[in-house]
Amino acid sequence: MFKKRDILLLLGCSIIVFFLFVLNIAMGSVDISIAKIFHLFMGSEEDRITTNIIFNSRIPQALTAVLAGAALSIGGLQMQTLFRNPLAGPSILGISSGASLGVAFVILASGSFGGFAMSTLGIFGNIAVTLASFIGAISVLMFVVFLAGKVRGNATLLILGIMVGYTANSVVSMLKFYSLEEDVHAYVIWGLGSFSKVSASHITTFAVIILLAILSSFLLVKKLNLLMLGENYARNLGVNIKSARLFIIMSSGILTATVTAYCGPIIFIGLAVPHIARLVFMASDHRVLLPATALIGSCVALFCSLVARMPGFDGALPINSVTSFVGAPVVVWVLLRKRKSEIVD
Amino acid sequence: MKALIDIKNLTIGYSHKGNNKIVHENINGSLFSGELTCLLGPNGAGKSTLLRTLSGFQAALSGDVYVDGVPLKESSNEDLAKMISVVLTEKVNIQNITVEELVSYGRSPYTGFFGRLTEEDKKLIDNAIEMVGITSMKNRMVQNLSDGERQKVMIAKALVQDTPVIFLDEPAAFLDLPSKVELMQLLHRLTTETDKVIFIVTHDLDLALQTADKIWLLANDKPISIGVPEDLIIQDKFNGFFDRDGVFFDKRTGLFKIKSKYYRKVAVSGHGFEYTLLRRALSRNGIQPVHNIESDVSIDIVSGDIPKFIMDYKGEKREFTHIESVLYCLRDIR
Repeated sequence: MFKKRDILLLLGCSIIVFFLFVLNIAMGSVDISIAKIFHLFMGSEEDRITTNIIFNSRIPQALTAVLAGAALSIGGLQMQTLFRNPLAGPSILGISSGASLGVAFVILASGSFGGFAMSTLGIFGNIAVTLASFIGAISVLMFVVFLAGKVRGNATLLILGIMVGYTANSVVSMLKFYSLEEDVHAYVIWGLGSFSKVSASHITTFAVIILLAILSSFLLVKKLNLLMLGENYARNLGVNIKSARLFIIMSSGILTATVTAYCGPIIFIGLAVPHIARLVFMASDHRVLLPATALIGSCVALFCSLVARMPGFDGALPINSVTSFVGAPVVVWVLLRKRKSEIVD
Repeated sequence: MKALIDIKNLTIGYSHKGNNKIVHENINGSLFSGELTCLLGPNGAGKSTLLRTLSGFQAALSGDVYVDGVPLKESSNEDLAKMISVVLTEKVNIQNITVEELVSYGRSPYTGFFGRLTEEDKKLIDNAIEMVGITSMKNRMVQNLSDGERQKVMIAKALVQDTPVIFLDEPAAFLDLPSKVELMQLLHRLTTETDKVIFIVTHDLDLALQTADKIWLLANDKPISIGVPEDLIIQDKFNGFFDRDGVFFDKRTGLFKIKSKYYRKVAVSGHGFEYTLLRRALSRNGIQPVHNIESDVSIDIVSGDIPKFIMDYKGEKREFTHIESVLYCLRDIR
């Protein structure tokens, strides 16, 4: 199942992840030299400010990028395989729209109708936003799971999921219309996504949830492989379609809901990375594709996080403004290169 | 010989909110190991519905199907996966999958949680790939194969599944004639070599009649007819099953023929291959060839390397070497 080429490529991806991780720690508004980082980890660095920056800001941010990138990409791969649709992504079933709705209720409704602005609450506001987002996303996930038990066809389920998303979005825009300007601004900022909102105290919770969800997603690889053949072939090979569908939606949903709760709705990565993984690894077997997608997802997220904090930008750009700008040309390039090699074949 | 599939008073169709749409009622029959059975019938007779029901993809409206003595509705997906394998009409559309990988998915009912293959599995896969004759393309990507080659890959997948029963839904659709013949021969060889039940839904009547051990005829509002092809021909079953204007089943050749409407008669004398061909060309043009001279036109055939068609029209004789010229001339003197 693992060819020599696959193992080398996975190893290469891991090295790139490590390299980008170190760069993410080193680069930012205050540049820290690699040597200094090395010393710090060896315990011979005494500079309090540097230590503080690295442990409370840079490392949580880089870890968040690694985990979120991997999680969203796996979620996207699962949806693309389940629906046999290359345009599916982790938020196709309306899960991030559910998160948006939850957050809109907290940020927008509390300001307009509750009489106080969430954006003024600081750290407690952040926790409230994370919770609201998670509750919104999980509610939509539960509703979609309920629908999945009712309807037979995958196409029907896909359309239902998209409709749930539209409904949530329309409620959000109604809330926006009646909200205070500064609350709308806070909401828009949340919607642009960020890897830096997870604080050092919360990174452990985030990491544990994401790692558990990623590990359990590996239990679904055989089912995903057989579902590629189509529902009838899969059933004939012993797959229980309904339960497989539920497990896959749950797995992808929890990954997406958790990332969205902590980072906001991150676009593009979950849609594009599985395609990059398929093209780079020339594979369809999910036992290879899943780790490949996770690693490439981490690479892309780390790279975007780096670009967003490039010197010259005032502070950091929102992550969603970078993901597509960086990612789309990569996908186009990989696709065009593939065409060329096919013609040569 | 063992009846692996037993069908008892089966009614197939679709059920929607308590309303049953019956496609066919009271089907009885058995499929025996070591026999290639073809299911024939006009469009809309319920061939695919029957196959879907037998595969466990949809529930029967009533009646029972027994797979090796066990009722189908009591078997789990996992158990059924080891009894019945299918080759379907839907095209498997996966990018970046090698022939070997796709075939290996046939072992899934036997492999563990992550689908790891044992040495024995690998041997079975190699064996199946060789049996269908695609060893040379083992490492090629499936997306670069022709339709016929893909069909063989799916048949290898079914073989690897190691089930006593294989169902195939129109495996020869989209194939050119030589590939169709080759595929049917392959399936027939597999039936005898592996002693499996092979059950094929097909539209290729003449091929089915030549290769099948048994034929099942399914048509709307008629009880199903089952038998050895030749017996069914003797009983003249086919005319009833494909009842259409302008088509009839020729018992002697075992082929469907176009029923021509004649508006003219021409006397033709001669014999051999040229005679058969001229008759056919004339029939197509609505001219009935007759033996006795009662028309004003007669054609005499002289066989040879270059055959001669000598036409006599009211005593005037003309000689042709091409049937095309004969037809044009007949058109002129109408």
